[in-house]
Amino acid sequence: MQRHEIDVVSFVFGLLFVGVSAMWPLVHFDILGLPGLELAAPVLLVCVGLAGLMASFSRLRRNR
Amino acid sequence: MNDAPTIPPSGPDSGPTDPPPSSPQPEPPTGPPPEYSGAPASSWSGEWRSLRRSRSDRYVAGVLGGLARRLDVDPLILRITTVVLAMFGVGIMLYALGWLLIPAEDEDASVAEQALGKGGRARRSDAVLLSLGLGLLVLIFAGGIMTSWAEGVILLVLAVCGIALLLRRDDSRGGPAADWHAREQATDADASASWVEGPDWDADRPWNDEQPDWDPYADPATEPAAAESRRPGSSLWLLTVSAAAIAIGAIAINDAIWATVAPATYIATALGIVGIGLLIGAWFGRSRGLIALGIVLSFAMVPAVLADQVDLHEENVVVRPTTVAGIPSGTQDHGAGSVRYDLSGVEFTDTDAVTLAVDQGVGELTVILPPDVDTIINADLGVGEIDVLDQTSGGFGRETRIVDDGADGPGGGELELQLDLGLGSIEVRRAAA
Repeated sequence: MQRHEIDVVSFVFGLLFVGVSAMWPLVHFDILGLPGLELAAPVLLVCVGLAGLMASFSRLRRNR
Repeated sequence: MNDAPTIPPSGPDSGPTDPPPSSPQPEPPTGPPPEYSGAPASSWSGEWRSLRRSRSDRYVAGVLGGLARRLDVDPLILRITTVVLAMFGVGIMLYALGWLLIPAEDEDASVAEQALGKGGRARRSDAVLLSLGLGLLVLIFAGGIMTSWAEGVILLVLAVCGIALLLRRDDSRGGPAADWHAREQATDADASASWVEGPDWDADRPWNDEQPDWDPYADPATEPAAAESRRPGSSLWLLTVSAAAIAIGAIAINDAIWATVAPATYIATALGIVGIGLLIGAWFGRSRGLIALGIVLSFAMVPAVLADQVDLHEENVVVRPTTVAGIPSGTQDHGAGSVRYDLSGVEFTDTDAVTLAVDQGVGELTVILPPDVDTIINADLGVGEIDVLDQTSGGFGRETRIVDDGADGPGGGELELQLDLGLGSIEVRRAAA
């Protein structure tokens, strides 16, 4: 498989899914708990969104 | 009488006037097949495929406007029903699903289908991505509602406002649908020049290769992409799914032989591997077909995590005061689990008057009263069952107020209970005398 320019859609969804799955052990082993999840879920979404924005911008800049 | 009928017809002129009844001539296909939007839908799948979100009759995304036209009812009825259901989060979830899965009336593919690249590459990819993300957000916070009502409702309303805003903005751009229909007709050279997001390596619609079974009812005539030359699909999709299968199998073996594994662990593992596959696909090969799998797994996480949290009693609390002063004052907050206040050892005198207030998210809340104390019980339950001194009820939004003086009648101290539970069961009973 050859390396290609970053696919932002795959990147953002990949981060989101890895993040959601990583939350499970935190909830299960009581590091976070359900109330903590209410804070962690929006934090994850903000982080994923920022990463997606940065990837998009850096890509736009390179294409220009 | 004529002799002609008795003679078996042999000439070419006798055939058309007397066709054998046992083999009717099939109608030759004439012209293109009818469009499904105009043809009467005979089957369930046809009904579903002819469903469209209304562009003209809408408040948010036209789901209910389109559904009402299809069902031939007043959209106001459906709107009121949805708003009522939205109070439990269900209406918003259903609306979001409808919006994801039902195409707008001037579009061929729904938002979800567009995200997967049906009928072309991912157009308006930012809007599609945002909307899918918001849909997921709505679901996560619908789960959050169950743990604490106030914050969950606020976040849910914010998420819905975000979706509405997104759609308004999309409209103000000026006929985006017509725009991308025109783009659909454009050549690849034009397309890659006009799309900022259009990378070279997906110039001939590779997503279709990864989802060959995405739309089994699709008419090949309506999908120009099907006629184009196909590239072999990326091996990354198969690689990731195989890795996920191996991991799940390994966990299942572990589950069966050594240790019990929570159901959500299976889903979380598969989701993590799908996410890693997508991250690899961001730079190597193609893996966007995994997004659908990931979304399904993410949705499945919500009930799995909630079930785990409720059933395993992560927070097991037993409070057993022995004096009136030992009864905790102020509101006692608990998250998820099994909580029990056993007051059976408290000796009340006639002058004692105390209040016990408990606020719990999810689980079982049990209070055991001394046999004789005069009790006022206020129980407030979001979803679940209440059993207060053998008076039981269940369902949504239960409020129970019971005054009970115990076995000895009035006198012997006063206790007021304020019990508030989001999801689960409340039980109040008296200890044996």
